[in-house]
Amino acid sequence: MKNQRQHIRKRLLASVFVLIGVTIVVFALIRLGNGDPAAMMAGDLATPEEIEDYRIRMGLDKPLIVQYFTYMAGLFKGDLGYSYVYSMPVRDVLAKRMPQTLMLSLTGFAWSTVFSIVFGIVAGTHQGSGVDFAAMFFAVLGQAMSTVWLGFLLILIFGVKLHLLPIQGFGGIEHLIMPGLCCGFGQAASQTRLMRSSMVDVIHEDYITATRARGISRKVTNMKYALRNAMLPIVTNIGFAFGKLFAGSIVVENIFNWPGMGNLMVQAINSRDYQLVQSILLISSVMLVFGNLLADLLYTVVDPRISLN
Amino acid sequence: MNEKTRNEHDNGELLRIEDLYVEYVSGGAVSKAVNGLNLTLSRGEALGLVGESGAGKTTTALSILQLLPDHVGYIRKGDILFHGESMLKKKEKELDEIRGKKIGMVFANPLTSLNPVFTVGHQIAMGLKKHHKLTDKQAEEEAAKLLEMVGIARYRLNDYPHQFSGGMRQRVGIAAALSCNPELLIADEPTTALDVTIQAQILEIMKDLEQKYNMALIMITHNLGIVAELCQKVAIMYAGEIVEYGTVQEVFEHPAHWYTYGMLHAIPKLTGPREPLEPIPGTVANSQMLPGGCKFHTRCRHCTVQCEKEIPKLMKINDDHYAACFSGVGVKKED
Repeated sequence: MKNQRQHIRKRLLASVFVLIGVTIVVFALIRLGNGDPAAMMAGDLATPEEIEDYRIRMGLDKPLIVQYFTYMAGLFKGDLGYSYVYSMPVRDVLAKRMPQTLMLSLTGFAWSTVFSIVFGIVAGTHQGSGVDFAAMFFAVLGQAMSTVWLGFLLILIFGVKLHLLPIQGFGGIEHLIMPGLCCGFGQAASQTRLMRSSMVDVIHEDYITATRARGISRKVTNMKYALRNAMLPIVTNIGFAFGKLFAGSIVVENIFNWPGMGNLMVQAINSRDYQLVQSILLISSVMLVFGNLLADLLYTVVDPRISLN
Repeated sequence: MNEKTRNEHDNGELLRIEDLYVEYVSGGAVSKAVNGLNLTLSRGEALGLVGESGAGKTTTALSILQLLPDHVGYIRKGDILFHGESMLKKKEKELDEIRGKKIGMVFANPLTSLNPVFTVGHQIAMGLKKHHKLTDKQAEEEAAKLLEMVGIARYRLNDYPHQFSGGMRQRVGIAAALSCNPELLIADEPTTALDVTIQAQILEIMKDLEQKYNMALIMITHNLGIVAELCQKVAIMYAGEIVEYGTVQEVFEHPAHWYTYGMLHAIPKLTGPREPLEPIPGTVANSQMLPGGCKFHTRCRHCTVQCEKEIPKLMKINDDHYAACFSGVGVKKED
């Protein structure tokens, strides 16, 4: 237990450095792109003097290094900066968008996790059966199909043709169905395949035959003794999936015009809203780092062979 | 079956395998692993099942427990009678009541036959909980005793397999197989994966336990020394058949099948003048393309026309000795 706490502390400290690295890269990358936020803010008819005026107000006239440290100083105080496009603090902009994104990505995460584990177990324990064939078909389909294509396909079928579901926007539960489905689709497909093959591998292990030779029924052997081993690669995968939650929602939010952070980020990039872009990327990096840490820790819980030292 | 009818069957016979044929089918290829195997085992009897790799020893063991791999291993013909009842006709639930409770099995590779994510205590106790309906606590206590019996301290109960050496893991495997006092223990090459000094330890433990529990033992091995040490009877397997069967003394001293003869002469002697070893020429018959007639004839120096055409049946040499060889009985006189 003591080792565990020490390990977590070490990993958290390392994560801080990773995230500082992220801020540098993000800060530099967005400024490498063309486009001038001051000119954009000032509008098409602005004179050079007006643009210069905006530049000074936004603090963009200072050397990059000064801009970076100003940004970092704010960050350590919990200040994410100011969005000039929305004319309000970044934190307030995000607070309005975050819940929708969480709702969407957690829906995708939840259904894909449950679905892939159940489907994978059934397919893996019934190798060569119809369910197994269906699982493999789904896995290939899901991995080959792009989210964009799936999104438009769903809109066409359930929105345009059948008039069953709203084709875009945010509202009741019916608005969540198609985007949520899209959000977890790729993950569900690849994880079903992973779960299935992991289960198939484990079932053929000697220790499973040995368990059966002790009189433990097939069902208990599969669901208790094989599953725990088969879950090892899945646990890591789930951790990564959790980390990639936000990244996945960017495309989906734009297809369904979902008022979340993914949608926001595309707009922010287009309008060169530097501080907003920086914050969104920082948040998704935090998620990714946290997801990996989570996977690591879960691994030590399910596999006694992995020692934390 | 009630007590009376069971007693009628009761002539000391515990296990009988009748004309067993087992095939493995994978990707269109068919491997004939066991081909017409007959075997009888009495209560408390220790039998050595000897043969080269690929002779069908493990397949025979898994067939007894009805644990051949799904959709790959099939029993094509024959029957396996345990206490006079067919194992082939039993339902899964009935089989689960026999596995672990009446028949225990020790596996060849201790590094792969223990579940890496459960403690050794849990793995020894799982049979006890299932068959003797013990509570967690009682089962743990029993498991601790079993662990001590195989020479491992009880405080290691909650350790995981990776924290043990290969020899210790095999002892855990033995403790788990014996947990419910089975009437029959099948030990599938329990020492093959271990180094020599550890082999001796494991054999010592098995010998002790065999006497202590008075259980029947099928010792699968390709080590003739182990058979001499532990068993009263020996069955020599080749290409899925038993080619020679009898008491250890009879078979080892007067081998009546050229294969047995060859095996015994391929072992170096530690004493006496050095003589060149006589290897058996060729390799084990390919189970996907078995030769006709006696399956050993392609490697036999004494092969006759009859050997190539007819399959020899086990023939009685005396009450303690049977062999399936047309030309082999003469070995006895020559020797």
